[in-house]
Amino acid sequence: MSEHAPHMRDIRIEVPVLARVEGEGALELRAREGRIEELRLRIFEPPRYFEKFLEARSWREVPDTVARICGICPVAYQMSAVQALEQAFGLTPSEWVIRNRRLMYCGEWIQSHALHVHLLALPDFLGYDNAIAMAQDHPEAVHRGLALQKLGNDLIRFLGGRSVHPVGVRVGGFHHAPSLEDARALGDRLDQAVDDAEALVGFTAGLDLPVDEQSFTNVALRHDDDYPMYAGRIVSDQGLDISADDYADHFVESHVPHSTALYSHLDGQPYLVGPLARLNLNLDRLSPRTRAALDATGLNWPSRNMFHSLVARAVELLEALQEARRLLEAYAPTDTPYAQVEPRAGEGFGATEAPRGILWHHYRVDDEGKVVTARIVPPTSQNQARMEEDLRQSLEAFGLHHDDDSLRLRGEMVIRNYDPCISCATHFLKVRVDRGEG
Amino acid sequence: MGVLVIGIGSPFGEDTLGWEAVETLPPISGVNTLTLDRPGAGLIEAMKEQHSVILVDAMDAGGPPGAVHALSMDDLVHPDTTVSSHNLGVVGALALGKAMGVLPPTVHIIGIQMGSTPMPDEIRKSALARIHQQIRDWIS
Repeated sequence: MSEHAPHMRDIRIEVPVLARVEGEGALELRAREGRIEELRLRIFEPPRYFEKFLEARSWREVPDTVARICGICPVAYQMSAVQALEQAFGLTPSEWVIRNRRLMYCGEWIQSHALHVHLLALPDFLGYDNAIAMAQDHPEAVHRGLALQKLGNDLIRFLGGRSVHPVGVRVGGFHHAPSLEDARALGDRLDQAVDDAEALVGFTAGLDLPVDEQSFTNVALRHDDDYPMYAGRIVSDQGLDISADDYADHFVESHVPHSTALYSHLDGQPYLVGPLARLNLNLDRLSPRTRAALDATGLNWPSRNMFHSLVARAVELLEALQEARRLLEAYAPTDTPYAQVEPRAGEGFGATEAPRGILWHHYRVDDEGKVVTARIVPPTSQNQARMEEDLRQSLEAFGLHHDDDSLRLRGEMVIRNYDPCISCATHFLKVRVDRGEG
Repeated sequence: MGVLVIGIGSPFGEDTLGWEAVETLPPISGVNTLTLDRPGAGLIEAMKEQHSVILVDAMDAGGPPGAVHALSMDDLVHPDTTVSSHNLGVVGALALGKAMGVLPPTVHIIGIQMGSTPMPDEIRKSALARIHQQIRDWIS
């Protein structure tokens, strides 16, 4: 029996495999006398070297190559990449292309958020170990999630040819313009989905979500007119307002020994990207119907409670479905789905809002348009420092007197709020080879 | 009642075996076919409202390349905590569909042992023939 009071006991918790997140990571926690001494979100997913793979490849290969980085957000990788390469080539895509890139992006948000809310997060808040256990008692929730996910995948397929690692995107536009008939068939399915997503906003806000107010810096894109997705300036609630070109002047990545993903800081501090940060910084860019659904929740926004990320995803799901419906209603095929590319040496930057937050790309290309250098900063590595900070604050606020299983579960819930994609975050490891020749 | 045969795979290497088995299946009365590219949870949707489904997928069960395994739902051990955003595999999707109560009354699974390199043509043809025979046996 411990000599200490329960909240003063020595705690050593290891969660060797994080469930319901993508990729291989672990949580290690050591506490003594009621304080956390050491907390590590260990990411040991092997590095993937995609930036090196891109070097010397033609601009033509880049969209299909970067799509392979992630099975859940390939569109985001393609969109940030084509933006950057088009800037390098001095190419401005047509309005048709920009509208349909946004439409395809809506599909990715819809499928990613629908899956996260229903299959990954909801079991935490309804008291189940996983979605399979939850499905026996709440099949309707799983049905709704799967139906919305399918709709999102079909939107990606509409322009991308397939939903997993789509192939329809190219620098300058799309390889192919879908038919009006296909657009109408998809549009017909959106009315019910919008209604479902509207109900989902109220449903998520009505869950017994933990109250855990924290102080953090929100970072997201901000667009003149739209809720940010495909375009915008990078802003924060601390006064940052920059173009994608200036990202590297403010955001610094660094290694830590326990992670194969880089940590990212803004002016030396952790920061948050993703649905909650996006919503906090863009409440005035929501459509009237989404805003009304948000207001009806009775929650206060902007929110400092990371557990409101679940509600933010439901809100963005509703917004993306309405936006997809609007874009599909206005859709008209074209004979020129892409602009001709004239490669030239240069560099370009791209920043778009992946479902999990800002995804930044930077390329230098030679006069044939071959990649000289590539740099990709995905949202999960940007959130990694914030996740550790959040874990420390959340677990101390939750109370270290709880038993190990409760602390372990709370830690996993905190991590899942970020919907981390560890596989995406681990392609940055720099390798120094000591050949003993010096 | 008809039977739906679903080939599952991806365009990469031997993971195309499930597609190939279905695409080369000679027409059989009352049998429809479908190929799916890494469907994840979408497999549930594809199976919904079917009476009888046969899934064909490349697998690694440790046997020699080309080995054909005829399996039932009861043969599958579902990893109940591995539902992630990216990799809800066939086993996880079947477990989820079963929990939702939406799987067809009859589900058969055929697994083809894949190797790390393409198997010789002779072994491949033999494996495909055994798969086609297994499908005919099940529906007869």
